[in-house]
Amino acid sequence: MRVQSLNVLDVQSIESIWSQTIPSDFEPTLAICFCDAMFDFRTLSEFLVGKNIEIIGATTCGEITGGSVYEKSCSIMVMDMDKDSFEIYLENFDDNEELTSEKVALKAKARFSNPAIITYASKLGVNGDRVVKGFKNILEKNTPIFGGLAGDNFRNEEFTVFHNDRYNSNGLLVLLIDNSKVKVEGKSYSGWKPLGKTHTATKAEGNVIFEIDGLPALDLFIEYFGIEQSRSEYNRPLEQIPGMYPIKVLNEPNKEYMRSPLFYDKKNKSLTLAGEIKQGERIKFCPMPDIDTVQDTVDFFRSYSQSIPNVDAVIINSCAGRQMSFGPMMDKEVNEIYHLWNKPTIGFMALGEIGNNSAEGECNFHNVTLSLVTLTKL
Amino acid sequence: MDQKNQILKWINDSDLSDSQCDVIRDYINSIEKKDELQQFQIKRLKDNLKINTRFLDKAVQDLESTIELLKASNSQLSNFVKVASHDLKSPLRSISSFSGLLQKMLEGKFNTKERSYFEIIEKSAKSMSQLIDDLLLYTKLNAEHLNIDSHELKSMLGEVLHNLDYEITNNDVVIEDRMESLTFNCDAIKFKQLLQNLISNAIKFSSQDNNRAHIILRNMELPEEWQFYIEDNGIGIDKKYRLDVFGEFAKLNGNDFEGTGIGLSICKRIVDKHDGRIWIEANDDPGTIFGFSISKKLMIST
Repeated sequence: MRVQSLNVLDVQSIESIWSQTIPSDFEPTLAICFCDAMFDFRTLSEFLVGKNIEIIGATTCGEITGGSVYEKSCSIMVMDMDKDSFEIYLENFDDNEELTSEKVALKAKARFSNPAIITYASKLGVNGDRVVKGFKNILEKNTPIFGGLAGDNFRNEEFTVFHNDRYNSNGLLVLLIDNSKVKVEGKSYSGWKPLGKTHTATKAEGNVIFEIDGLPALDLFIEYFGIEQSRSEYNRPLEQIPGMYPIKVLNEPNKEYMRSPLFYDKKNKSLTLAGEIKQGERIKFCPMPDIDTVQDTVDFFRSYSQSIPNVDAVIINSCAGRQMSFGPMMDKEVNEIYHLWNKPTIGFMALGEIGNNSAEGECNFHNVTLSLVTLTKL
Repeated sequence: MDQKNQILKWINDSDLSDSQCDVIRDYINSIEKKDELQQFQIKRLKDNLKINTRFLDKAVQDLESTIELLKASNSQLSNFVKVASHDLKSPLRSISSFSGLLQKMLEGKFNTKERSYFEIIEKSAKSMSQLIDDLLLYTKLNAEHLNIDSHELKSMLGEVLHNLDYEITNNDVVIEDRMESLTFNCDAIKFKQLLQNLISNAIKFSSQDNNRAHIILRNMELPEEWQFYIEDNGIGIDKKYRLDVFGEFAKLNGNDFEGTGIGLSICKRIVDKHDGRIWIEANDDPGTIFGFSISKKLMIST
């Protein structure tokens, strides 16, 4: 499969960049675009649709093209995937996200006997766990499900997913791929190393954790990380906790997942996480990421790349919280991962990632994780 | 104007070609990026050092409170066992005494069946008394410190064999003493208790077989520890139970043999206190080989 990736800072320049980058004998059928919410993706869509290309996209908190991370740009990947190897769905979210993804999963199951899902959601405050659960309710346990939650560069006003000329700010976008024709594989990894003892989420509901070890969650969090005390010294107010101090949930062996505290409530001393947590689950705190976190992640994907060295394209959905807390290390991570395959690569900084972090190949919803998916024509 | 801008200005004003200027600019930017990354890493390490220290402080606090809780709990348990043992022993003594008195008073008046009932009462009282003594010893071992001094192995073994003389003779046991003379640091009382428990165990299980009981005692020196072995030709212990037998109330071979199930736990506790190990050797022949070690690093108590 022929694939090309490009980055556009301004939609006006698309035509010239296109002519410089895309050879005349290359006739893409599908474009995947990740762009800043302020980027004129409508004009971009018109341009690509005009070239008879199906375009799908999502707004982001940062874009990845090749080995670099961009802001306020648009990352585009075009490929000549056979039209009968994929299908695109854009659904409006029901009140219950699980029902929406179940609905799409039913269509996917009817369309391909061996489906793979790449999905992006644009609903503000969407429950990523339920989206994944809906797919898993219908599809086989090990069906590849990858993707992430759209963003708007931390403005938290409006996220958008789109397909050709259809734009949706409360939608679930699904690129369904026939996994028998184009292999969709991937892994998710955080690289974060937990510190200290194992705690228990003694009171939790949905994505809010009220008590840890029987103590108010916020109090314990502050006690361990000394966030408020260092506010003036290090300029790390509690408001900046997303991505800084994630929680590793030790669900069961080989089924760990990361949760990032997003907000806190001083009244009831709770922490709102960017994903669900169940009461009684064992958790560990993680300190801020350092260069070892990056190195560990790169090493993990290096080892993974050796197991699937020949791929056509790489899509990275990395957590926006990761970008916040990694600072300039983010570029290093993306750059080194890009060079593992040296294949056309795009991606975006998401508000939640969907991917596979288990040995069994089961996909789940994650926070502060780098979820990587590869496409390979069989 | 900062250094970077000054250099960039020089480049712009120079006669270098555009491509040459680009190369220099890229180089300056890459150095700037590297520098930014290094600064960030240093700051992050400093921040995390503070966090790690807080975690460590918390861990120490947690550990200290756990130790306090454990101490309190141990002390409560010790007291409980002492009181319970005392309170249990009194009525036991009464049971034993009055059963004996009754036997004397009714001498010649009861039949064989009734006599066997008295025997059961006496045996049970004796067994319970032994259990209480073992419990007390086990509890004391938890609380007591070792009194380490230099001792002669042969002398301690002699005392142990003397204590077991009745059992050895009564069960027609052959004791083959292959222990080599040795002077080493240990708590003599506890070491003798350990040897006595293990040899007594060996006698008990060897004597159940039709073959004549044969027990071999031997020792060896390793760089870090002294090792001792008690080998019998008895019924042996199933491989799957070999790790479990040192747990509290783990009875070897079920209820077929007398014993409280604490004897080997006491042995393990004594060995642990001597920074040693205790194990059962895997052997395909019938019988059992108990091995234990005593650290050579034990210092004489002051």
